[in-house]
Amino acid sequence: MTHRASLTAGDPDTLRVRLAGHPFCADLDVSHVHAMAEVTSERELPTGGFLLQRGQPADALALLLEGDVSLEVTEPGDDPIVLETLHGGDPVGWSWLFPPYRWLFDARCLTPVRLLQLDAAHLRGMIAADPVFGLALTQRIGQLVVQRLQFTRAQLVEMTHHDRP
Amino acid sequence: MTVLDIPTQGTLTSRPYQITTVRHQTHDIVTIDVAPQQHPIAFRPGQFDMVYVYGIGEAAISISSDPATPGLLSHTIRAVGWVTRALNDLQPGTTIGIRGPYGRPWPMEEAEGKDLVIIAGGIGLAPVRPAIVEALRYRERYGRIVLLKGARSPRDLVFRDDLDRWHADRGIDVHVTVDSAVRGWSGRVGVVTKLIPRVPFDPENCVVLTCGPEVMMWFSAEALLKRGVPPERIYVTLERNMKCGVGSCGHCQLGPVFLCRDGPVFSWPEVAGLLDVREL
Repeated sequence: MTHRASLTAGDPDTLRVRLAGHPFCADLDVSHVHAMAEVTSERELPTGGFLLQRGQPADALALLLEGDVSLEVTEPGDDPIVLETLHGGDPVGWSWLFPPYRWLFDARCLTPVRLLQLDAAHLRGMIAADPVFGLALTQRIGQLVVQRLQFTRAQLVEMTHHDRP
Repeated sequence: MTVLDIPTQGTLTSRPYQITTVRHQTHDIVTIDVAPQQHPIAFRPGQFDMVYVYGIGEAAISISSDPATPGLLSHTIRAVGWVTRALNDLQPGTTIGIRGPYGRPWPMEEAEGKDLVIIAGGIGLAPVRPAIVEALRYRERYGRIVLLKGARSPRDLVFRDDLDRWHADRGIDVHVTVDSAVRGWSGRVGVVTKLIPRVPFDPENCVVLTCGPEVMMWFSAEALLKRGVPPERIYVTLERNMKCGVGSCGHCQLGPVFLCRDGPVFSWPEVAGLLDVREL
């Protein structure tokens, strides 16, 4: 994760509450939320700041609390191609879970953004050490990947579909 | 001015209308405003007309204007075939033929007392525009009014003036998203169905009007059902190659229904199975 962010709150109780209230953690076991809070920090990024940058180490899972983020790919000398925008309540990034642990796209802040940042190395360690936690977390990431794939397929169909008069 | 509220099922005679204005919405979509040369005929939101370009042919086009002003009819047309391309090239002053209105309208009365959710993809905003205009006119009859509008790209957005005005109107909650954008677009990017889980409305007490590509409506219905909207409260409008407009010729048959006569507006349970039909 590109560290142009500023740490805003590290109070464990606050982090637990914010994690528990994030849609990504809905119905997650309380003990798992508390364990995740141990490796979580809250951060803020300004408009234009990069949450992720292509090719950089995928070292965190980001859970957006507020603000808008553009997931995009850029070719040198050209405008970025926006693939999708993400908003408060959305998770950002799953490359931290799979080798080679590098981001494939840029994520740029369209507005000031506030987010929860979970350290990827610790999360991977927790997944390996606790299969129940590991299953719960990887199922959520799996759901996220499936949902984004479905949206992308719908996007492809809509972009190539010719409307009737 | 006398407004005729006459039954039109079975009417096959077109009436002359003169084009008063041609508004270019996008590179291939125009809105044509026409005035009747005889008495105007009342219509309901969601109904369509058969629009005749003399010497070329007819096409079924949804009415996109305000139902309260039947003396000024608007049709919004994408140039995709002979007739619609000809309509895109017409100039003010030209006379065209119109017969209608036809078809089952949007269930505006059923939506009263409930949240009204409108999902429109691409040119699909045209058939729901009269419903939005009417709902805003009688704002007190409805709960929350939500518009989810999707387009392929910012340049494919239709009714931009309306969208800007509705954005500023506190009576309607407008969310616009595009499938593809480049720098300069500061709005959402992604499919319109992605908005369904997150926008505020009461899924158990709402009526949803959906219009757009059938794949979009299918994905929308899935997302609405997942959110808890009863299937019978989800309405879609379907289009096929309509010819007669009165359920006689069979061109627009989809399984057991003729879209022109039985639709074009259907509840989701009426057509969900029909949209899976592979061959017609």
